[in-house]
Amino acid sequence: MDLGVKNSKELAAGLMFLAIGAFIVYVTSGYDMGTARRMGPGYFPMGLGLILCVIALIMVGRSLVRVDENSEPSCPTLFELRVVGAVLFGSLLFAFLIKPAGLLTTVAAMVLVGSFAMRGYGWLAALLSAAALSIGSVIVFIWLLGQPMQVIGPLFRF
Amino acid sequence: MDLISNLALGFSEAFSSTNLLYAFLGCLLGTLIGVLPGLGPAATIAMLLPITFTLDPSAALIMLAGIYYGAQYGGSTTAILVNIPGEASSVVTALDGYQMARQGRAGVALSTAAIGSFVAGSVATLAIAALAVPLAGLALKFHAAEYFALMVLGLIASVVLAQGSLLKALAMIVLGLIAGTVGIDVTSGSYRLTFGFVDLLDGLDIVAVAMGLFGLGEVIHNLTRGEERRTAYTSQIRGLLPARSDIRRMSGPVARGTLLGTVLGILPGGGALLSSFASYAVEKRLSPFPQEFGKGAIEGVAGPESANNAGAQTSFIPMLTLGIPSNVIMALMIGAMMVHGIQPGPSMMTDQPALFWGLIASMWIGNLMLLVLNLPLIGIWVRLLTLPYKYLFLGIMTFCAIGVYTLASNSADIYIMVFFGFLGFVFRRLDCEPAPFLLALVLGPMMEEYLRRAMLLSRGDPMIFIERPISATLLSIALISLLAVSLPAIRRKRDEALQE
Repeated sequence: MDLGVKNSKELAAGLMFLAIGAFIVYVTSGYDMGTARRMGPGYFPMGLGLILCVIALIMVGRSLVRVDENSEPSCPTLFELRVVGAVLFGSLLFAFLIKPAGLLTTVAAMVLVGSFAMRGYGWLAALLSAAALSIGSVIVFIWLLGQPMQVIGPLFRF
Repeated sequence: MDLISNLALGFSEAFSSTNLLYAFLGCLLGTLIGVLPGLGPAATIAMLLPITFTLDPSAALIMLAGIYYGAQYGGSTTAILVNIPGEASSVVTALDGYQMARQGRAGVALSTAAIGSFVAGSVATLAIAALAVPLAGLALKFHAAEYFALMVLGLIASVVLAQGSLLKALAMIVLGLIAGTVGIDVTSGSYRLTFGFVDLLDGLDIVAVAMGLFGLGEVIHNLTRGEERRTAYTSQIRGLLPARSDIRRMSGPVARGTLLGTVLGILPGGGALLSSFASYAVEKRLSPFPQEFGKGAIEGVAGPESANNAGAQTSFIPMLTLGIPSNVIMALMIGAMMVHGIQPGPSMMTDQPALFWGLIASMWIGNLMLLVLNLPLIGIWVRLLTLPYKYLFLGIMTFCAIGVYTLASNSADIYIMVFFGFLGFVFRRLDCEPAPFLLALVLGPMMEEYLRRAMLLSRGDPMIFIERPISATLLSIALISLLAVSLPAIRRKRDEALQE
């Protein structure tokens, strides 16, 4: 993945900011700019988008010239992707399940998915964590703090 | 004496039994979460914010202040006992504090930190009380141009004083300002960057973004980095009280650190971090035993710990008097205040005096509580901070999801959190610090508003920022410090100083 680039992290960051900046400029170009005296909704974000592009271009330029000895490859490893996937998908699952399934099963499902983020967690440990955390959060958040959530949602009521 | 009557009002508010209870709970929870591995103060506060939303405003603020001090103290505890600073400002504490712990003087190091912090906190509280009124008066002289210039300076200062690449930090600031424009534009009523999502109309919720960047982001970061070995010096915590010779050696550093921290903390972007580094450098130069530094010198713990606590405290000043957060934690505090319908700024003092002075009084109470609470509980903290990450990260995930969901019983906030959790991973992977992003996100809408007002007043002439003396001064300080750090020679010096 090393294309003769001397600082691949700076290059990657520069390209990311450049893409975001260009995207923002593109989107905000559809907004009303107004004038410097009476700024429209597009003036401030468009200006920022342009500034971001300039900063990003400097970063890209520098990354091609300057050497950074500590630079590691910017490509994520498979294990990193697994961690990101487990943590984020677990949290998303919470958003999907909380209304229909209620807090008890939702937390358990999230914890089971989340446990994939760590190598060698083991299914027994995962089940125990899921049980402890789901019961614990029902006690703390619903019974003690009185948050408006259901223990068991409509999905499991017949 | 206005100062005394104001403080009396504050103490009568803060000393009500419920508020004392919340101050206590805040300190306890703050320290509890703060000593856990992989959770810095920003993540701690973001996680605990939702708990305070059910309280009435003054109890909530008091509890938050307690959480803040607790989290700070938790950071020092881990720095001393396991050589893992919970946050940047306790990096310096780890240098000598951990060495003291290795020599079996962990108890002395911890109590030095606690005593130093208490002294510094007391002085800084008085400083806030004394300075708040005149500064709020000054704030009334500020117009749109000055506010805009001050925010620019604050953002630049937070970059200049941080570690790492200047360009990346600047890019993160601009990105944060852009993210701040998401939602309905207040002036024109048109939708900006909402991409058709109804839930984005009110803008990005600060708490959801912070939980994503700092809560989930740090979980992912810690898990991908692999577990660090934490060996705490648990068996050797005996003899908490410093000996008479220790007290003699620490009194000077505590006094100087307090002074340094109190002054530097007021500066935008300065706060705790700069104060502790500056104090360490000063003590090393003044000490009769400079060769002991880095090998367990008590001055190296006493000075920086006092300085960072004083600085942490006086960084409330710009927020309370001007409504401008000077660092990420203050940005989160503003977010919490807004949930309670409090607009921090010069009018807070006159409109809600009991709340304002109660908060200031509770700062002192929070410091006192840390002193009486933490020294006896050190044994518990030690056990907590060696908790394997395996049992922790799932709990953090649970806390983040429930906390964000209960903000408004809305799953959309979780989607925002997950999105920023992913961004947090990408940012960290590319060595971009997420803290300036969050600060800019909070400042963005205010900056745009002041920019618009200033330009309206000047009929579209940007010279207004240079013609007005205060604004010109603030902007030139920002420009000079930016130019200074980009010069290679000074830059190297800064990196050395921050590394030392």
